[in-house]
Order: sequence, then C-alpha cells, then structure tokens
Amino acid sequence: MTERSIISLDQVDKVFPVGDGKFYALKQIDLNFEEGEFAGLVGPSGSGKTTLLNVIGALDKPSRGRVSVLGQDVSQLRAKESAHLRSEKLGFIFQTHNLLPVYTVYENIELPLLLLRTPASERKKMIMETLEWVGLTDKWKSKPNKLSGGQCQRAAIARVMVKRPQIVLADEPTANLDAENSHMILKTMKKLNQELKTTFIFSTHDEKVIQYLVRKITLTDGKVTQDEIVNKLKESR
Amino acid sequence: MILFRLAFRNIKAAGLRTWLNTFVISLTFFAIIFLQGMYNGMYEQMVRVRIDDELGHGQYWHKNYDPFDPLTLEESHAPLPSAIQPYIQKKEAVPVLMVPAAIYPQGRLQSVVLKGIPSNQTILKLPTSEMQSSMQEIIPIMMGERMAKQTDLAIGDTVTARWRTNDGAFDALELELAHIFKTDVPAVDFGQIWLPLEHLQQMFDVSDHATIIIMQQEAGKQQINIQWDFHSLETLLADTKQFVQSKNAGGSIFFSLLLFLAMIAILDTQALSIFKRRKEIGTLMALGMTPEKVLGLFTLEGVMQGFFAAFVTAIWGGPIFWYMNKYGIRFSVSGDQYGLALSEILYPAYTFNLFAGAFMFVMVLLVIVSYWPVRHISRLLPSDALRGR
Ligand SMILES: Nc1ncnc2c1ncn2[C@@H]1O[C@H](COP(=O)(O)OP(=O)(O)OP(=O)(O)O)[C@@H](O)[C@H]1O
Ligand SMILES: [Mg+2]
Repeated sequence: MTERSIISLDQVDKVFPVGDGKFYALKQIDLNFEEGEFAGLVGPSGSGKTTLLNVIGALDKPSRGRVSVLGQDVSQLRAKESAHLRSEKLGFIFQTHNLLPVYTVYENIELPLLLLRTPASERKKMIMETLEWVGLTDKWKSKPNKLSGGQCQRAAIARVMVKRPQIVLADEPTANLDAENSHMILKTMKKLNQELKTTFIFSTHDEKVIQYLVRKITLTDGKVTQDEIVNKLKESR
Repeated sequence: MILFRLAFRNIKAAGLRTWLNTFVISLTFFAIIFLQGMYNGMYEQMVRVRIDDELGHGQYWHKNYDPFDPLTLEESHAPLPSAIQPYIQKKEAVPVLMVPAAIYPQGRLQSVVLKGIPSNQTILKLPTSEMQSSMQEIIPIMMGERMAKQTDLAIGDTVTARWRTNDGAFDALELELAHIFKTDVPAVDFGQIWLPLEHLQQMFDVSDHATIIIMQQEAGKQQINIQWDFHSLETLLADTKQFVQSKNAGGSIFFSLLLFLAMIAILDTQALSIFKRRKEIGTLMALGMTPEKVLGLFTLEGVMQGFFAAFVTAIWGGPIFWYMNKYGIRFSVSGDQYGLALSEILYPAYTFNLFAGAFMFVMVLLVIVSYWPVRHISRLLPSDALRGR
C-alpha cells in the first residue's frame, strides 16, 4: 500500500457457498490503485472480475481480508454507510446501461444529484454540462427505449459523471456495443480520466478496451496472475 | 420528497396496472362508505322515530310489565308513585296505561291493546291532541294507518270494544275513531288503540294507574326514587342496534370481498415488482440509495395507489354520496313487514368520521400489503440485486 493509493486490497478472499461446499471467487487478492489510474481487469469468464469490482464498490463484502476505499474499510461499513460512500464517491457503469426505463435521460442523470440533495439551481447546469460531454444534449428528453445501445451507455456514463465521483467502476461497459460506439465511449472515459483525474477501473475481455488501458491486471480463477503497466499507452497518457 | 417523486413516476408508468389497482381500491372505498353510511342512516332514522313515537328518553316500567307478553298486561299496572307527579306536571314524564281488549270491527273479533295516554302530552310526537270526539258521550280513539287498514276503519267510524275491568268483570263500550296517524314505528300502530288516559282509567275502573311512564329526559333515573324498573333509552334501543349490526355484518361481507380483492391486487403488484424490478433495485442501491429508502420507495408505490383511489373515489363517489344524502334512497319494501321502524326513504348518514375511518382502515391495510412483499429489500445485497437474484 502506497501513500497515494485510494483503493487497497489486502489478502482478500471472496467465498460463495455452493451446494455443500465453498467456491473461491477471489483468492488472496493484494492490489493497490492510485488516484487517476486507468486500469483494467481482464481474464476469462468466471475469473472473478465482477466479483472484484463489487467488493471494491461496496456492493458486496469480502469474506476475508481488508478492502479500503478512500480510507474507509468497506468490510466494516453498514448498509447505510456503504450507500453513502457509493452516492458521494463512487460511480458504476454496468454491462447493460441499467437506466431506469420510466425516466427520461435527463431524469436518469438527475437521480444521483437528487440523492446527494444537490440544490435544483445547480442540478440543471451540471446535467446539461455532462450531457454535452457525452454528446447527448439533443436527447435529454428521450426515454431510454428511444435511444440506441451506445446512446444509452453514454447516458449511463453521464449518470455516473454528473456527480464527479472519485472512482468509477465499469463492468464490461462495451460488451453490448459495436466497435464504433465502444471507441467513442472509451474516448469519453479517457477524456474524463485526464480532465478530472477520475480513477477508472474496468473489467473487460474486449481487445478494443485493452488498447486504452494504462494498467492491465489479469485475473485467473480468482487470483491476480499478472499486473503490468502497458507502456505504449502510458506514453500516450 | 425524492421518494414521492420517484414513486409517483413509477406507478404512473405502470399504467394499466395502476389504474386497475386504483379502481378496485376505489370501489372498496365506495362500498365501505356507501354501506356504512346506509346503515348509520338507517340506525339514526330508526332511533329518531322510535324516540319520537314510542320511547321518549327512557321509561319506567311497572315491575310486571313485559312488552312481549300481552297476557300479563292485566297485572302490570299500579297507581303512579307520588315522586313522579311533579315530573308529570312539568310535562317531563307521561304515564301510559295499557289494557288488553277485544274489538269487533265489522263483527270480526280482534285482540288489541288499549293504550291510555294524556291527550295533552308533548313528549311523544303522536298526535294525541287529535283524540276529540264529535259526540260528548263517546270516547275518541286514534290509531295508526296500518291498524286502520287492517281493521278497515275510517275516521268517524265507531267500533265496539270489550275488556275486563280491574275487578275482573267484563265491560263493553263504543269507541269513535277520531284520528288516523302515520308513523314509521309499527310497534305503536299494529294492534294498538290509543285513547285519552282518563277515559281508559275510568273504563278499567282504576284511578291514577299506569303501566309505564315515558320520560322526556334520561336524567330521570338518578333523581326519581320509585319502585318501578327504569329502562334507559340505550336498553330500549338494544334490539334496533342489534338489527342494524346484523345487517351491517351482512354488508361487511360484501365489502370485505372487495377489500380482499384490492389487497390481493396490491400484494400481487408488489410481489411482481420485487421479481421484475430486481435490477432496478440494484441500480438504485449502486447509485447510493440506502436499502431502507429503496424499501420505502417500493412501499410508497403501493400506498400511493390508495391515495389515488381516495382521490378518484371523491371524484366519482362524491356526487353520488351527495345525491343520496340529499334525496335519500327509496326502498320498494318497507320495514313494515318485519315490524321494523324503517321509513320508505332512507337518508344515509355520511359523516366526517365515516370518511376518515374508511380511509384510515383501508390505508392501514394497504401499508401492510404494500410493505409485506417487499420487506426483504432492506436485507438485499446490492450485488445480488444487480445480478437479478
Ligand atoms: N452470488 C454468487 N454465488 C455463487 N457463485 C458466484 C456468485 N457470484 C459469482 N459467483 C461465481 O464466482 C465466479 C466469478 O464470477 P464473476 O461474475 O466475478 O466472473 P467474471 O469474471 O465477472 O465473469 P464474466 O466475464 O463472465 O462476467 C464465477 O464462477 C461465478 O459462478
Ligand atoms: Mg462479470
């Protein structure tokens, strides 16, 4: 654990009960992430990528070990406290956009701000600004079912970015997108990473995504088997 | 506040489902209020007419008097206690003497009860002052419409009455029907002949005797120390109350069925939500909504439909309630055949308490059925919810 690390995992296990036995989805994970990282978790299906992101994001608790996020010990947090952590500091992007279908794009993006009790006067400005970033200004009134997959995913990114989280956890954000949209999304995220110093952690098997990574962490059967800085892209950073 | 906004949005988006739920809950509100209002109105009306025409506000009964046993009437009278006299003078009490008799309208025999009551009394609304004979020597009587119809007597007709005097001797006399009154209380009509008290006392050969004393005010009980049995208005009305309650129980079955339907509809919606909207629950939690708030949101969605329903009921039921309250409900069968003091037109009694009570009752149940199916949300792990488990 370094001084600058904002996320640290220390000997983390995640065990799921299966039938009579136990299944180790994560085994003895030791990882540190620093502010402003653009890191990816890669590995075959079932290797524990989603599980790891869930644990980091306080959506799930580690079975053993310590997970510290922004100085808070996630395994010790009560439901309400982890909700506050997520609301104030974290953002999630899922494989599917997970936009709420009955709300417009604008309202979906407004939701995190409502949860943060942001005053109405500031909300509008923040939302419109974020929509501009992701290039959806003209779609603010639309319901998600009127948008393309890529547009939905961009709206989901906007919903995360509008509150300027310190950490964004994205679980296969491009899995449902075509190449063009994938690149567009990744460029957007890269831009946010550079402009706002937001820490991004992805999970992915997508080669297109891997090109953008600065750090690539390989998981195999719940273990970290490789953790490397992808030099070429580090230069481009 | 955000929860209200979200809940409102969600149930609005649920469309048909919401309308159906609202419709059933609204019907339930309407049925409860309608039936309760009707029974309350029925009770109030029956109580009112019985106080007016029959009961006053409590009665003293001679200890032998039993309204269900006419055979004991001959032994059920005594001189008025002196303690009651001041009340009679002040017109706060009215004595009634009852004597069993037979009359012979058109030659047919019919048993009746002769009821003597001071013609200048003011406690009962019966028109006793109408008991004036056209001929000096003939005793004027009055009777209700039903009795007049049954005996086929008209005003001005005379009828022979035969009775046993206090010392056991038979006596007979012509009586003249001076007035026919209309009443909603069959008990003062069927088989009853009303005549001035002093005449009946003479005919029966007693002076100052009575069978019951009808009081103007309930307060009589504590103040008057006499050996007669006091029957409070409440005990006198017990059978009416029981009747309405049994009717009410019948009506309750009807609205309970609707209530049951409404609750099932909400239960079903809620149970379905928790299955179909797993991912939404997970997303809300990932966005930082506390599990309690998500639970609150889902519960609120159920409960809000109750508020909708109340509102909708006010819109379509309000005018109906208003109309019925103003013009009443006409019944094709009157209570007569059952001996009930029911009038033909019933005015339902809609009170604030009734509306508030029905609302509270339904809402409390709604909170329960809205909360129950979704209560485990607060224990749900966000990761499980997101995965759709
Ligand atoms: N709640 C759970 N109960 C039991 N087993 C689970 C649970 N969640 C995950 N697992 C198991 O843990 C392992 C890792 O799952 P995880 O979803 O993290 O994999 P992944 O790397 O994200 O895979 P993919 O690329 O397919 O999304 C899998 O074998 C999975 O079956
Ligand atoms: Mg996964």
